[in-house]
Amino acid sequence: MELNGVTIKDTFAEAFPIKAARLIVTARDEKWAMHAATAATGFATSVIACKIEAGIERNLTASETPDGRFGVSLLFFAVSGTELENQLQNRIGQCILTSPTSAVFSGIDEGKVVGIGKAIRYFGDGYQISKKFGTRRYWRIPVMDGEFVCEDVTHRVDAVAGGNFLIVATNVEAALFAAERAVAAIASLPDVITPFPGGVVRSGSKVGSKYKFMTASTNDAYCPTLRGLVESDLPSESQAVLEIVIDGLTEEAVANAMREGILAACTHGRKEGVIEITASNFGGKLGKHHFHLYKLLP
Amino acid sequence: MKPLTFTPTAEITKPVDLTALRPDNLTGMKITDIERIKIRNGSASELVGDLFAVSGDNPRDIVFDGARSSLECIGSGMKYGSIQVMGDAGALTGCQMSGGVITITGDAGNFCANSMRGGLIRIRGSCGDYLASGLPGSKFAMNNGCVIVNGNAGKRLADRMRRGLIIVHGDVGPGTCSAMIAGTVMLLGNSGGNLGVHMKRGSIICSESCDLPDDRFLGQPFEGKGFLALIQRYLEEIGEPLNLCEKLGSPRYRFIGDLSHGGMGEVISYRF
Repeated sequence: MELNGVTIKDTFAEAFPIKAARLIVTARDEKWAMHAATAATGFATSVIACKIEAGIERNLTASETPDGRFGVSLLFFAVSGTELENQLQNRIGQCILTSPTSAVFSGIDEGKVVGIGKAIRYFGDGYQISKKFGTRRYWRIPVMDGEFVCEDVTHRVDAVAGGNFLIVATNVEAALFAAERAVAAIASLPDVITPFPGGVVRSGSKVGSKYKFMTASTNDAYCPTLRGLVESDLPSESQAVLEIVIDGLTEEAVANAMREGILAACTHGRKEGVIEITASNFGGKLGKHHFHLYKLLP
Repeated sequence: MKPLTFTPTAEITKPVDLTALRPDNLTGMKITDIERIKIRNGSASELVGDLFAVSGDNPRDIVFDGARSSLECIGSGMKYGSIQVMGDAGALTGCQMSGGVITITGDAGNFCANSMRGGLIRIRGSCGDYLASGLPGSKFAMNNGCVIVNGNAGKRLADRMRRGLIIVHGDVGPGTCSAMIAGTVMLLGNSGGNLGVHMKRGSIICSESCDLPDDRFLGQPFEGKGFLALIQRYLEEIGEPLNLCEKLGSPRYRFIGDLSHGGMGEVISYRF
């Protein structure tokens, strides 16, 4: 299959089940909401070492947030409910509670309960105030700029992590240009994030290593400098490969994001240096979600 | 399905206890069975069919047509469903209810929503004394749910209230929120004397001037809009057409008290 002269390989991306939660962070203006959001989603690129993958889903207008202020929707993904709860509590406590004028609310109202405010409230040292309206409970915790408002609980749902595709290009500039377009296209979609820096990964990995203490190591088949030393999967004219990794709340959301991302990456086609689109998988042994590129694309 | 409708067939002058006529009690019953339920009429015991004409087939949706203040305990102990009172409701309406919605087009009597544990009561008219207070001997009063009064309310509203939300559009009597334990009370009219006396925790929001007891509250300027937006969010969820930002503007002062009871309560004033 070809798309604007770009070869689409007959392969699939392999994704795995994961637990996910959504938080809504608000603040007095966009600047401070983003400060809290970027801090809370920092060091959250891969569950391998960060224990969580997180990112900004989208910005929210005042009319879309519970307290009528500017907001940011954040998605968090972890391999277990316990780890997700621990990470959320730590990140709210250290990154959102500490950010001036911030407040945090649940972004998902169905699924298993994950405590957030019910743990953070103890920071109030007995001066915290509980407010329950309908079924929702909030905590008002006194802080030095007034009060930090935090919803008592959020909910987690079963989700999909590790959707991906690789952009094989003639050089780094061409690969980056295509990757940035792909990330921009995915950023406009609901229920998905691209957790890596700028949404792009340059250090794709394979399972295992020659070193026993390493569980994953560099994806040598796609490293241009190793061509000739290892069995390379790169076309001869390729000098750079970048990967887009996608986490989403549903399989449909990830599939949609992969499709839109690949189409955006191939917009200018081979004439701008994009040679091939492929995907990373582990022979079907890692995850139950398989996204076949041929089936995704029109 | 049509709402199960009760229409008085005779002049009811004595207090009638309607505790039994609530959705969770009547589900699965035929009209003939409902007509044979015994209820208290003053000191006597009478059949529902002797006092009311019963029609309709949906016990989850009950209507008391032509209601008057002698009909007491409407929706008392109710767990789910809806009750519409077309007219006035007597004492103890919604007492100890834990779910569902009661709508009263007229006024409600004393002890409405006493020891309420959940659900929603809308009173389009005014309400008597001891709204959302505790039953005699109980440690605390309203423990959850929401009461909205479009008119005025009497004395000792929310006495010993522990949780929930009360909004009164009109004026309230003296002793409002006395010994309040927690919860939120929004007063959009004038408040009577001794507001919040002996309150331990909880929030009172006053759009007009508030008459706090001397030396028991400590006030300071307050700018934050606080949790008002969260109340607005809930009001939108229950379909209540009240724009709090328009109605209240920005808060001016926040008092903490009752200082003789720990001082963890707050009175947020919008017109100090």
